[in-house]
Amino acid sequence: MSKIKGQDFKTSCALVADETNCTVTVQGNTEDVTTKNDTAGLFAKDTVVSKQWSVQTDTYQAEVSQLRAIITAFNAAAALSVGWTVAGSNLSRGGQALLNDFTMQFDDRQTVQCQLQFQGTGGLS
Amino acid sequence: MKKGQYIRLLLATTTDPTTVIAAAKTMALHGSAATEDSSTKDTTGDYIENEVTGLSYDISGSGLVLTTTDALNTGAVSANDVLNMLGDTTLYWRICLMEGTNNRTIVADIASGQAKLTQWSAQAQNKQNVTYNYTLTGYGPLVVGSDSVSSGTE
Repeated sequence: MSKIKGQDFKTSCALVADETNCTVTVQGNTEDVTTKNDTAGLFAKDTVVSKQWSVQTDTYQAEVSQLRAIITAFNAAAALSVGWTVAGSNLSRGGQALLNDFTMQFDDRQTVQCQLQFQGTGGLS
Repeated sequence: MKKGQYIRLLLATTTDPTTVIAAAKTMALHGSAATEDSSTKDTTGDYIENEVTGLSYDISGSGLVLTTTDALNTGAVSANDVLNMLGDTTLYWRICLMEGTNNRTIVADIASGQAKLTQWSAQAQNKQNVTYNYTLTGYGPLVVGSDSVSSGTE
C-alpha cells in the first residue's frame, strides 16, 4: 500500500511558503426538498444546490517581504490563484480564491506562524 | 525561521509610535474579510462566486505586569499605560522587525495603522507572573510597511 503523506499535499499559492499544515474543504450546500407529498416519513431529502471550497494553511513564513505581501493581498480584496498539489495522486485542484482571513502570530521564543484562509470564488479544476 | 521576539508592536497616542510594549509575551495580527455570495443566474456551474464586502482587523497580545519602577518600563508602554489607553482614543500602532538591546531598535516596518483599545484583562495566579492581555480593534486602513523606516528607538 502506497499512502500519501502530508508533506506531499501542499497548498499552491504565491503567498504561501514554508507550509506546515493545510486543510482543503469542498462542500455541497444542501436544501431539503421534501414536500407534503413525500412518503419518506420524517426523513429529509437533501439536494446539493451549490458548491463552495476553501483552503486553510499554516506556515512558518516570517520574512518582512512575505508578511507585507500577505497584508497587501488582504487589502486588495481580489481573487488569487489558489489550489493544492498532491504528489503521486490525481487529487490536485485549483481555482480563484479570496484571502478572507489571516493571523500572524508573533510570540516570544516561538517561531513566527501565519495562518491563511482562502475562500474559493468560482469553480475548481 | 524567525522568532516572535524580533517582531514587536509599537503603540502610542501620537503618530509614528516608537515605543514598544514593555515585557511583551505574545502578539498577533488578525485580518478578516466579510464576503458575500455574488453568484447569479449568469454564473456558470454549481460553484459559488464570492466578493469581499468589508475588511477588518485586530491586534491582540499579552505581556508581563512589571513594578512601576522597573527599568524596562522606561521609554516603553507599560501595562498601566495600555489600560489607560482603553476607550475611544485613537491609537497609532506599528508592527516592526526589531534588533539590538532588548529588541527595541527598529529594522523594518511590516505594517501600521490606527486602532482603538477595546479590551484589557489581567490574570493573577498564585505563584505565577501576573500577565495581562489586550485587544486593539482596527480603525481604518491596515497600511503595509515600506522600506523607509522612521527610526525609533526604545
